[in-house]
Amino acid sequence: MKYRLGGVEPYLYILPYFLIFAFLLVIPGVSGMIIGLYDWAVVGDRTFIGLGNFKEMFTDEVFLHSVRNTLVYALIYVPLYLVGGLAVAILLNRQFRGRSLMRLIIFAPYVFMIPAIGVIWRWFMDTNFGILNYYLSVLHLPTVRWLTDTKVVLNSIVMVVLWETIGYSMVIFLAGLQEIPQEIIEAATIDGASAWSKFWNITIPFLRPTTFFILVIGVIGALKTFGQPFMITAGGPLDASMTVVMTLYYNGFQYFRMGYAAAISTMLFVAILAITLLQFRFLRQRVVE
Amino acid sequence: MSSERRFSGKLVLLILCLAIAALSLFPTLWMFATSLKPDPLIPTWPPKWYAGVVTLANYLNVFTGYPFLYWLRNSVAVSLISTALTIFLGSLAGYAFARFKFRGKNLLFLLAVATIIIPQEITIIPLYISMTKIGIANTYLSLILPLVANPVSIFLFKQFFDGFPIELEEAAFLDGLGRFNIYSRLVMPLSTAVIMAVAILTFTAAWNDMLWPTIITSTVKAATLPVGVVQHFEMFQGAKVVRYGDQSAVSILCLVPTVIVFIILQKYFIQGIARTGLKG
Repeated sequence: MKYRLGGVEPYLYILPYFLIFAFLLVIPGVSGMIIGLYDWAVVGDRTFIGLGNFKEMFTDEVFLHSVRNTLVYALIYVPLYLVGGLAVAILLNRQFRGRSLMRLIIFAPYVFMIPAIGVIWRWFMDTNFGILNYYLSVLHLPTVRWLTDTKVVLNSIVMVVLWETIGYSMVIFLAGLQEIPQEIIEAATIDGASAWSKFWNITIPFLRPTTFFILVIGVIGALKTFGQPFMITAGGPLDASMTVVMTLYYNGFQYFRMGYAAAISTMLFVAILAITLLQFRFLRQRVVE
Repeated sequence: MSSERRFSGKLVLLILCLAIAALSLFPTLWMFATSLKPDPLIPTWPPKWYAGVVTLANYLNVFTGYPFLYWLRNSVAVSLISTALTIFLGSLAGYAFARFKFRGKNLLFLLAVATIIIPQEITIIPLYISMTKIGIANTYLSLILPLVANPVSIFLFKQFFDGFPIELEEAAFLDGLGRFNIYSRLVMPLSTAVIMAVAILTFTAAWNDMLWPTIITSTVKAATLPVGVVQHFEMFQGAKVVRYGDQSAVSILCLVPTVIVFIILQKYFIQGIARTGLKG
């Protein structure tokens, strides 16, 4: 019908957004990759050094450390994010009084401001005055140097981020659970299926697309982790909680090595893209089947 | 099922819920309790929930000792303006993609959505360099524009309008109403659900954004709340005096606005996130 034929009007409607995308995402994205090929300080000369920045990364101890930390962090965080979110969602999908309040309480930290979260948890996990250690000692459990032990600190950061984000995966799992047709579950119940077998044979298969989505989102989020360790430990002790985006920030805006920082951002982009594509390639098919 | 078993099932549920709620609330409540103590009484062993007195001195300190109100004003302005812009521009573009036939439509939509893969991290260095060069660092513009560049909003609006019956709009068009008026006066007022979803997502992202404001603002008065907290309450590196009181009060104050918005709009929040989640 005539209404759908707008002539040039539709182009005007989409124009502002395309300008914004061009100037704030596409052009900066491409120039980020180009800047990565230069030795570029904020002031002074810039020299083209080709892949020099990328070569340097392989000998940069702090950067290598941050890559290792980020990967280890993702390997701990993502499975807990999936399983924890699903467990809470299943619990809160049951009918009982106070259910909405519970959902609200669990989701709330997701809207908290990260610097505030940092202050809260740094104080909570403080080795000397922290109430967490106090309660451990009351229960006659060994106290933990949550933020000062190089072997523990990544786990502590995982704990904080899980606390903050588990509500998000819960909400998405809840939406997935509500899309499971009730008739199928009722039919299985009439046929005498146990709760366990209904879970494995109905719930889990129906939740595959949801699980895949949360996996992808969780991995991307983990690879970009910045705010929580930045606020809580500043990467310490001894770079044990330094993440890739933190090295990007410190190189770019503390040491003002724009070229090197841009090269790190290129590596991050490529890694995120590659890992996401791999997930789509190898896991998506199983999801659809 | 025997009533005894049902009872023990309920008990387990209750205990689980209490445990989870405690874990979720505990750190924040502890911080709140801390913020009400006089500063010298805060670091004690064993830690005490109640120090014997309750004081609001820490909160007063935040308002008088730091440019807290500047940061608050900046954060509110930046979050509100970027949310309004995202809704207006996103719905306009989403409407065009959902309703009109035009050349290159599918390709353009694909391009818009494909920008989702560009992470903020790769754009910050070039944006920092160019915005500093043209002299708009430390302005609202520099804080707002990157927040508006969010393809998810176009996607959500298109999705919503696609499922919206077109007959009403066509009738209005036959009656002589222009396309922009149909969009703004007929369609938008009927789209509260999706507007709320986009508003909430944009507002929370804007309010909590930390990396970009930390980089692009360099003056105290241009800072947003997260930047202010990071730069002026950040005392763990080599500081001799840690102002636990100020820190705890400011962190509680930062939570208040989003938590209020969240509690009022919780229904939309959860729907909105579920919607973006599954389709995005």
